[in-house]
Amino acid sequence: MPYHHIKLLTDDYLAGTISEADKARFEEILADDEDSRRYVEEEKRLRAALIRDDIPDPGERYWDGLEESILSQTIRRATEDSYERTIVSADSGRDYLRPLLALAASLVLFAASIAVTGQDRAPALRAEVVTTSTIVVTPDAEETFIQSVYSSVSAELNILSAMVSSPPGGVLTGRLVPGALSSGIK
Amino acid sequence: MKTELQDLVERFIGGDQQAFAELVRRYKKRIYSIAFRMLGNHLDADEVTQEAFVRIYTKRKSIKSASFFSSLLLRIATNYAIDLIRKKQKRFVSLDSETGATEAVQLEMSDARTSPERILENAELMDEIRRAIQKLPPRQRAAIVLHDVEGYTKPEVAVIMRCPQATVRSNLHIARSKLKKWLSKII
Repeated sequence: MPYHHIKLLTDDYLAGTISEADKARFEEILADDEDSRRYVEEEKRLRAALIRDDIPDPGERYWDGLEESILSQTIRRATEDSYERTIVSADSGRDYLRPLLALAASLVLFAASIAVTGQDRAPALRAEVVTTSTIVVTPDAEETFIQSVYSSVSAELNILSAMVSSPPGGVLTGRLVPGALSSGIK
Repeated sequence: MKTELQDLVERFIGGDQQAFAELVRRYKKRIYSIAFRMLGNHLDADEVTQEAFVRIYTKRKSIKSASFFSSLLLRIATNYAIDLIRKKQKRFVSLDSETGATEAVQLEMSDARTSPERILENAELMDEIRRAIQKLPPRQRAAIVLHDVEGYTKPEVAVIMRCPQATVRSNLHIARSKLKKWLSKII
């Protein structure tokens, strides 16, 4: 077994970075100890073999092509980055306006609903679609709701006029065809 | 006084494409060499080299000094190579488990092929050394390639691999012990 001291310092000894004092002690041990000598020789041979391992040169054409490829990739990425930055900055401007636009749109819709229905609040929901072809009018249906719905879409759906005159709890069946009701009230 | 390299790196950080082209010219062979030694083939070495430069380009704002440029470039390349090795190992492990072959068996097969006649040829010797390096775990491989082959000092390897010097020492020690054992017939 080589001395621990040798194992620790072989690296520095072979690299030439060992201190003079350590070097003297190191060589003293080497002179006396066969295992340590063998250990250092093996380490030296391994390093020499590793350094000898020349990698195959792919050639000048490869190096030129590699350079071009790297540069074109970085230019492409830089262009993509600047494009993304432009989009982000444009978006951030729109983000700033978005709440204001939403508020304005809400106010316009609210004013329009008051103008159409003449009420300051939307009527409660009183009807529900059971299937695509069936509408149930619940017992506490209010005529005002039906009228408000009617006023907004009656031009297209004549079915709503039937709902207005239907008794509470009545069920309308049939196909909902804009402008016509194909069957009657149950 | 500013060195030429400092000037180049500063221009590169500022986005100068010509400075970057010059840095690629200076460092491409070194990066390729480290990658080739770690991965053992041209295709992977090419991938690592290209990716290392593209990544350092995108990280250029974080470079604080000229000396940090080469450390960062080597770190990116080494880490990318380590990731690639791990990905490949996962693939090979799953293949090995399917065929029942283990690393030990493969090692013996490799040793059996090593006849005295063959190892006299330099190319074969190099092949054996490369094969042995390829059998090391990724971080030991990186330490051996950077320190013993490429000649970086331990503090430099520690910076590149982002680990204490003691870890570099132990990686080197274990890797060399394995290499000596595997290559005992030819060195």
